Amino acid sequence: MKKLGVYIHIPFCNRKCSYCDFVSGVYSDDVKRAYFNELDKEIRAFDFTGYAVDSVYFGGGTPSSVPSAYIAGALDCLRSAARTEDGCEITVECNPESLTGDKVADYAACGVNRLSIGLQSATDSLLERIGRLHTTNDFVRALDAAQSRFDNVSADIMLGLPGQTSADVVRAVKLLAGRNLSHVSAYALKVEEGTPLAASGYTPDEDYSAELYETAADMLLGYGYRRYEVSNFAFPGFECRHNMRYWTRGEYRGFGVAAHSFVRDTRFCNTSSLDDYLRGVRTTDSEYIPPDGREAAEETLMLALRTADGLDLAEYRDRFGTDPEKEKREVLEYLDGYVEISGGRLRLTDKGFYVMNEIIVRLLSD
Amino acid sequence: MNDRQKRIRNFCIIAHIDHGKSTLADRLIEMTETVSQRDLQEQLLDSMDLERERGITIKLTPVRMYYQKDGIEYELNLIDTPGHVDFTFEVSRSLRACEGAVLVVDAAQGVEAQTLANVYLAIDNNLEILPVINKIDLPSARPEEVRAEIEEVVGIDASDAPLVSAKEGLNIGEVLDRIVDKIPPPSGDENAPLKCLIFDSYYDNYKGAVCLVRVIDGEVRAGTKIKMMASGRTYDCVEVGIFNPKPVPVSSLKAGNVGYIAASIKAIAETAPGDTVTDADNPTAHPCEGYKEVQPVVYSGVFPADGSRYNDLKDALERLKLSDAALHYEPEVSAALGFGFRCGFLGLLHMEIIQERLEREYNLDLITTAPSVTYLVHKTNGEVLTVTNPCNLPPVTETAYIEEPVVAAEIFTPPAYIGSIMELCQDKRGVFEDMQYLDANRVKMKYKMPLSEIVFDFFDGLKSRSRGYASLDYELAGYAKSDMVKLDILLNGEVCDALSLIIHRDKAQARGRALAEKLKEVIPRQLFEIPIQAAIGGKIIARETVKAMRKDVLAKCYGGDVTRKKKLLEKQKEGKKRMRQFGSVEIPSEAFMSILKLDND
Repeated sequence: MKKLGVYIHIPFCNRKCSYCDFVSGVYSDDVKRAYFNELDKEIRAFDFTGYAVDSVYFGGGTPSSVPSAYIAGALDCLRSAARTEDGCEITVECNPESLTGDKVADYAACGVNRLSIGLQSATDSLLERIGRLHTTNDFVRALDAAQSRFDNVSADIMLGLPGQTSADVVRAVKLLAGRNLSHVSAYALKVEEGTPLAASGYTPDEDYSAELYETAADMLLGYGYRRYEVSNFAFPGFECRHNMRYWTRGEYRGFGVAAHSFVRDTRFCNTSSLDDYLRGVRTTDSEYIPPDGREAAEETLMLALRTADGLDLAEYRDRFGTDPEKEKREVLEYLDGYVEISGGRLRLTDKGFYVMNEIIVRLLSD
Repeated sequence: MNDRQKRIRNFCIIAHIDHGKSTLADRLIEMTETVSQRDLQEQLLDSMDLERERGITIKLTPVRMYYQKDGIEYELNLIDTPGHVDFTFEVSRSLRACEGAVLVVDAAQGVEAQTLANVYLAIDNNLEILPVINKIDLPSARPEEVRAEIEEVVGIDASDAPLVSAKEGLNIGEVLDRIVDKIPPPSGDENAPLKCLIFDSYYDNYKGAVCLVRVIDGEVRAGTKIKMMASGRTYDCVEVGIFNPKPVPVSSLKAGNVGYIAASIKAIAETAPGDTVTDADNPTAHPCEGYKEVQPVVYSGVFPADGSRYNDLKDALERLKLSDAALHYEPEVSAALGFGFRCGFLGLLHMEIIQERLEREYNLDLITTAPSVTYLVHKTNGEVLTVTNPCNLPPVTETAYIEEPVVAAEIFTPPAYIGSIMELCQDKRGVFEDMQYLDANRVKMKYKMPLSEIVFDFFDGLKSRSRGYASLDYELAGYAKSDMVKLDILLNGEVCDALSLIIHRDKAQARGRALAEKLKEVIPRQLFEIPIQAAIGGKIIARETVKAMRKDVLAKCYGGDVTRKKKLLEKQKEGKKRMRQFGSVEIPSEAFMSILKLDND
């Protein structure tokens, strides 16, 4: 039986952040009710034959902004439609202002076993500027609630926010490490077209962003976290199974508006229009990727290099019939210091992680 | 003179760039019903897209029109003239095909300096000048003042100059009447041996190179065995014809006529403008005067932005050369840019036009290197080299001295800008020779100036310092000894040949610094630091560094959206194709172009 990850998109927020270009927004209770109805339909309509679900991820939007009964309902629906493994990782993304003690209890009761809370920054004025509804204290309160029932709690911080200083990053990392969080994500801000942040004309300075990342990474590594992926740090054993699936080209099925899937060698994506989704529209784009072809090979390499484990060269050679070590010798020589080969694996060095696009493009170019 | 000749008028139109030459020509053609309304395309004479867009005329297209006056039908031949300094030579040869010139003056703007040069050229060629005051429909028109201005500045009688609006079609008939009345019919003897002036030529896919001619004496028809007097080559004339404005065959062209001769000539280079066509069996004793071979003045390397399109560029140049004898080219290999061509042009505009035609008509993306002039390098062993490419400059140790071409420049400007223009000329190593007030509002300044300085950003500087009022005319005026050096740019420690320049020692330091700074801006950060150095004779005079890339990562791959990340990488991969690999350094094609125009501070 093949393992499957399930992603469930919750496109609702109490407020939209200035940098956000995901499909999400502020909607009435009626819309939420109608949406979860459609979600149930979509889950029931999928053929789970041959799959066992071993990770579920509620992402958004802000899953914690909807009544917890909806989350529990969606999980019930999934359990009745699919076989779920024992020890299945079930994550809910939360924002501090909507994560109450009651919600934490409800989540625990319905089988959720991992919470991921968006801290983003530990400076209140900065949080306000980017459109967050919470303060650092709100986060601490939410974390108190979360840790009262969960030992697997993650938090996100962002790097390169307008006006962000390294002191902010230091403060945030200290806060998280001090609370012994099992997992921390440190994401570089990307200014997306069409967002209020982009309209403000802000572009993060490359050097400064890189320094903030190095600051965060150095501290986290010092606290005993392991960088298992470019933006993700965890205590051993607490790596996010669901996210790792993306990097290892495992299969996952995304339910809900704008959700992405990779199942049975096909990548597809649901409509990004909430109205259309509520009318029953589902998949818009779909692409079959021959499992041993060039595109699959390129995806494998590009995704694997995001991780600390890197690419298993022997497996890659056996499966795709190409050997980067031989065919890309010159490129690899040029990349010396940015990539290394050890134990039969090609991986990025510390210096390589943050410039990986350039490295990958060179490895993929003819 | 026979009756046939008495009914011919050959004329051209002289006008400042936007004073309405092409519009007036259109109206004349319209009024004489040479083209049906249906076929009328704005500005008929400017047949290339490029010409229509820029509002300038590059190629000469003669048009024959018929006009009735007092019961007699006259043949009017309009010979168009290019309006730019690069093409002065072409202007003078088309003037020699005419007996008169219509001088179009804008009723609001009055006489402009640049027009004057061409008017004097026309007067020198003994042409009858017919002033016409155009744009009288403009609210700011001041026709009477302009009339006085023409008399004062140009020194010709303008008392009966027609007041017209070419745009509105006002009083166009009056212009045609005046052409008939005032411009003398062509002299010449149709019974004398054949003598034709080639004033232009073009390439036709079916007919080969076609000569545009003014018949001075004699007669030419299909079957005539013709001879080019400069080259001595002979051909069998296949077809003669006129333009209405499309080419139409006629039985013969006689003294006074303007038309074309097609003789299965393979390349345009064999139909040298200014050359004389005569009857091979009964040649004229005196060829037309003033023939000279056109030599390129400015050289530049031309490379395909996509190296794999070298053959396309080669084909395109071959075909352009068929229709443009002034274009010279030869293969060139650059370490940075790969295979391309060293091209010679008549001047900067000509260079721009060729580049644009290559890009538009042949759909090529080009990289061009800094324009260079022809230097004479005197070596210590007595040898003299002609150098048009900085890479061919011999080592300093073998060089006794270098001579560079200088021009006699005439700058026409309102007096208010004299000061700042003098400053500019001085900065461009100009030597002041003379200054003359043409009237209260116009001054002619004369300078001796190195051509290389004019080639580098002089026009823009002149225009910006005179708010667009000043204009420039120049002609080559020999060579002068000059302290020229080779300025090299090193990327990652290696000389990048495509960026080398020959420059005067006094300017090398500043330009080297400016180049290095600019390159730092346009070369993107790469995985490794890239030192950029400017060097004169191996001595480093400036250094900049492109820092190593620090961040190039898509931090989040949200909800498994792998497709987005793939697209991003694909785009980045595409971007690499527009890069030139120089050693381990990637240089965007745009970088080579961006340094051609450095701010003129």
